[in-house]
Amino acid sequence: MDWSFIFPIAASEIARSWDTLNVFLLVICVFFFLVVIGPMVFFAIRYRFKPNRKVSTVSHNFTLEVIWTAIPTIILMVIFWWGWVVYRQMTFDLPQNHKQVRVVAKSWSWTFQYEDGRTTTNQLFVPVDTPVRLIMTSEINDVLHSFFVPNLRIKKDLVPGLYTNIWFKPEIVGQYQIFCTEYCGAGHSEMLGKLIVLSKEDYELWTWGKEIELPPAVGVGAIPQPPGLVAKAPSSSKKEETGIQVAMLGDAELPSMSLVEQGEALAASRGCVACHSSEDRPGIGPSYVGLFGREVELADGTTVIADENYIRESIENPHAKIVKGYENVLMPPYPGLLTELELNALMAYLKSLEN
Amino acid sequence: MEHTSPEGTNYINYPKGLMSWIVTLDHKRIGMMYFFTVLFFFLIGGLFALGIRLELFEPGGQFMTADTYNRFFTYHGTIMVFLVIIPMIPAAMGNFILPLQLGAKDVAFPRLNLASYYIFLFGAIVAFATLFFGGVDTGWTFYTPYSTNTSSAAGMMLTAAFILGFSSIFTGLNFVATIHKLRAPGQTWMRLPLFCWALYATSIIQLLATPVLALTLMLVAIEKVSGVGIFDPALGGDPVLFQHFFWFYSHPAVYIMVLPALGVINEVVPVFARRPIFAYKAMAAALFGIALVAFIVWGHHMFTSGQTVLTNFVFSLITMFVAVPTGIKVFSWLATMYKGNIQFYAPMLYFFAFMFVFVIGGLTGVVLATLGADIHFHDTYYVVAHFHYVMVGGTLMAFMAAIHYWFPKFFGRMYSEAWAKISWLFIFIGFNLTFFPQFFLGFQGMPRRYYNYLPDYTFLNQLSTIGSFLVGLGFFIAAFYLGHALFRGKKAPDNPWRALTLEWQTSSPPPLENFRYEPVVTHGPYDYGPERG
Repeated sequence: MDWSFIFPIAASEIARSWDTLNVFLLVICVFFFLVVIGPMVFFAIRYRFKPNRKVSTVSHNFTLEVIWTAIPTIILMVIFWWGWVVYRQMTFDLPQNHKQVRVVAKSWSWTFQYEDGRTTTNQLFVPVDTPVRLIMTSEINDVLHSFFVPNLRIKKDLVPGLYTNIWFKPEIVGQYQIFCTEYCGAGHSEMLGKLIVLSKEDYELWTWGKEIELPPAVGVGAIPQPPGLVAKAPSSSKKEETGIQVAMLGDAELPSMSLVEQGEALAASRGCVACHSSEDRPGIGPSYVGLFGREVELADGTTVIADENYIRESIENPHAKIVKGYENVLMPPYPGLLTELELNALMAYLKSLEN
Repeated sequence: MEHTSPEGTNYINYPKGLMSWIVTLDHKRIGMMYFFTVLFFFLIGGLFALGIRLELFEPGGQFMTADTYNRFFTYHGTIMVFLVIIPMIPAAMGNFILPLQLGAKDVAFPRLNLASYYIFLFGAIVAFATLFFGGVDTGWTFYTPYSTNTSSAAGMMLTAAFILGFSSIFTGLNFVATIHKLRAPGQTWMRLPLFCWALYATSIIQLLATPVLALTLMLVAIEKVSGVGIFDPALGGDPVLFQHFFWFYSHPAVYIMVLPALGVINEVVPVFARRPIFAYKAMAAALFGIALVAFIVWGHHMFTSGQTVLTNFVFSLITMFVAVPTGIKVFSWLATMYKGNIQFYAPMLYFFAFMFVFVIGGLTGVVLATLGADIHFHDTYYVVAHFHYVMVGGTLMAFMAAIHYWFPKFFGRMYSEAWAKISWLFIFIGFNLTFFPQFFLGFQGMPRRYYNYLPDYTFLNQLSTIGSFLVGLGFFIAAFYLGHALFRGKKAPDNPWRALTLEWQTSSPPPLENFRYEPVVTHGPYDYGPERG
C-alpha cells in the first residue's frame, strides 16, 4: 500500500519495514486515543452535573485494574519486539559483499571517500540495488553531526574521534535528501547533501569519469528550491546551458591510486612499516597482516576486536591498549599525524590485508 | 516562640511591609514569590517561542540570522525547562499547598526554603546575564564538544544550571522532611492527598538525580581548567559520555516536570466529579513506579549516538514500562469520572485538555521508545511535537488547572468563569494547531533546530505558527482576567469547590501559620459521596 501521503517515499526494503511498523504504531495510537478520549467525552456528557444525582462511591475494582495493567503491558512488549526486529534489520542485515564509502563531516559539509580513491563533497554517488556501508566520523576538532536520509529511514551520529557506521540498499534511481540532524551551529540547517542513486550503467560511466545526466529528485526535497533559499549549491555539480544537471567527478580528478594504494603509500612514507610489517611476520610491532577484524589479545589478558576505533586509538594513544608480547615496545603517540582522509586510506589498506 | 496573627488578617496583609516579604519564612509567601517569578520567566520564554515560530513562517531567513535563531531556541528551551517547568508546580504550587494539605504550620525547614528561592533567583540572574556575554547557542542540551569549543557563553549558562540545581535539591529535601514529620494528627499515609504523594516522588528524583547534573558540570569545568580529556575528543575524551551524564539527570528531570502535574490532576478530578478517586493506592504506587523507571531509561535519548546495540535494546525495553503506570493513572481518572456528577469549572476543563494532549504525548512517547521507529524520528519535529505534548500539554495544562483551582485559596478572590472558558478554548485549540502538524513534519523528516527548511515543509510550519499565536492570545486573555480578579475579583468563600482536603478547611487566603486551630483528620482526602455531596 502507498503510504507516501504521510510517510516519505520508501526507497529501500528497510524503509518499507519501517513503514509497516509505523502503520501498526499509528493504529495502536489511534485505538488507545479513542479508548481514553471516547469514554472521557461520553462520561462528561452522560454524568454532567445535576443536583441530587446519585454518584458511585466505588473506590477500586481489582479485576479492572489488573486488566488495564496487563493488556497494555502485553501490547507494549509486542511493540518493543517489532521495533527491535526492524532495528536489527537496520543494523545487522548488511550483506557480505557491499560497497564501502567513508564519510568525514565537518561544519558544515560532507566529504565522501570512495574505494577507488576519489572524494566528493555533499554528493554521495551509489549504484542502485547495491548494499552500501558508510564508515563515518567527524573531524577531530569539529563537533557532532548526524547523517539522515528520510527516504531510507536511517540515521546515525558522526562523532569526532569515533567511527560509526550505517548501511542501506536503495532500490529506486533518484536523488535523495541528506540532512544533518545533530545540531552543529550556524550552518546546521544548510548542512545538506544529496544521495545520488544511479542506474548500474550510469554508475559504471561515472566510475570511468564520463559525464552523466543526474537522475531526478525523489521524495523529500523534490520540490524545486526557489533561488537564494539554500546557501550553497553542491560543489560537485554544474548546470549546462540545456538546463540538464550533469555530474562531475567530484573534487578530485580521476585518482591515480585507489584508496588501498593511498593507504599503502602512506604506511611507507610515514614510516609505519619500519616497525609494522606488511608481510606475515612480526617486526618491532605487530604485523598488519590479518589484523583487521581479528580479536587481539592484550597484555592485561583482555581481548579487543581490531576495528577502525581500535586502530585509530593505537595510532593516537598506543599505550591505551598494549598487545600481548609487545609490553616493552614503546610506540610514541601520533595524534594529528594523519588527516581524517589519510586515516581512512590507512584503514582501507589495513582492511585489504585482513585474512 | 508563639506566633499568632490577629483575627481577620491573612498571610498577604500580615505582617506588613516590604521587608516582611523579602525575609519571610512563610511557605505561602515564598510560594507566591516563586509563582510570580515563574510567571515572569514564562512570559520571556514564551516570547522567545513566538520569535522562533515567526522566523519559521517561511523557509529562509525572515527577520533574524541563523546565529540569532539558534540563541532564540536555546533561551526558549533553557528558560522553559530550568526556570519555568521544573519549579512551576513543585516550588510555586507545592510550597503553598503542601503544608496546608498536611495540616502543618510551615515546611520543615523554612530558612532553607527561603534560601532555595534566592538561590533560584540568583541562578536565573546568572542565566539571563549570559545574554550580555554573547549569548548561548548550544541548545538546552549543551552537547559537547559544541558547548565547550564554541566561544559562546555556554560555560556561564552551565554555571547557572549548576546553581539552579541546588535550589531544586533544597526544595526536594524540604518536602521529604515536611511530609514525613509535619502531618497533622490523623493524617495517615493512606489519607495523604495524592498531590503530596506526587511531590514526594518528585522530591526523591530531585534529591537523587540533580547532584549528577552538578557533577557533570563540574567535570566540564575540570576539563576546561586542567585540560584533562573527559568529554572533548580532541583531548582524548568521549563526547558521548557527556550525553550519558546529561540524560542521567535530564531524563528524570522530565518526571520532575510531569509528576507534580499528575498530582494536580489527581486533586482536581475527584472534586469536580464529586466522587471518590478511583484506585487511590494504585495511583500513589504509579507515581513511584514512574519515578523509579525514570532513572533507568536515559539511554533512549541516544539510540543514534553510536552506543552499542545491546544498550539500545535494553533502554528500548525498559522505556516501554514507563507507559504501564502512566496508563494505570489515565484509566483510573476515567473510572473516577464514571457515575460521577461532573461540574465544568475551569480546572475541570483544563483536566479535559490535559487528558487530550497528555494521551497523545504519551502514545507518541511509546512510538519513540520503539527502537526501529525512533531511528527515523530522532531529532526531527516528531520529537519536538512529542515533548511539547507532554510538557506543555501535560504540565502546563495541569498548571493552568492548578492556578484556577487554587486561585480562591491563594488570593481570596474568584476569577471570571466565562473569560476562563474563552481563554481555555484559545489555548487548547491553539496548542493543538501548533504542535499536531509537527508530527507530520517529523514523518516527513524535517530535522529540529533548523533555521532554514526545505519548501516541502512550508504549509505545516505555517499552520504551526498560526497556532502558536492563538496560544499566545489565550495566555494574554488569561493574564488579563486573572490579573483583574486579583484586585477586583468577587470575594471567595473559604471552600468554593466544597473540597475535602485540608487546604480548604482554613480561611481564604489562609492566615499566617495556616490554621487557627490544629486540624484533626478524620477521613480520606476524596471521600465524596452521597452524604458529603
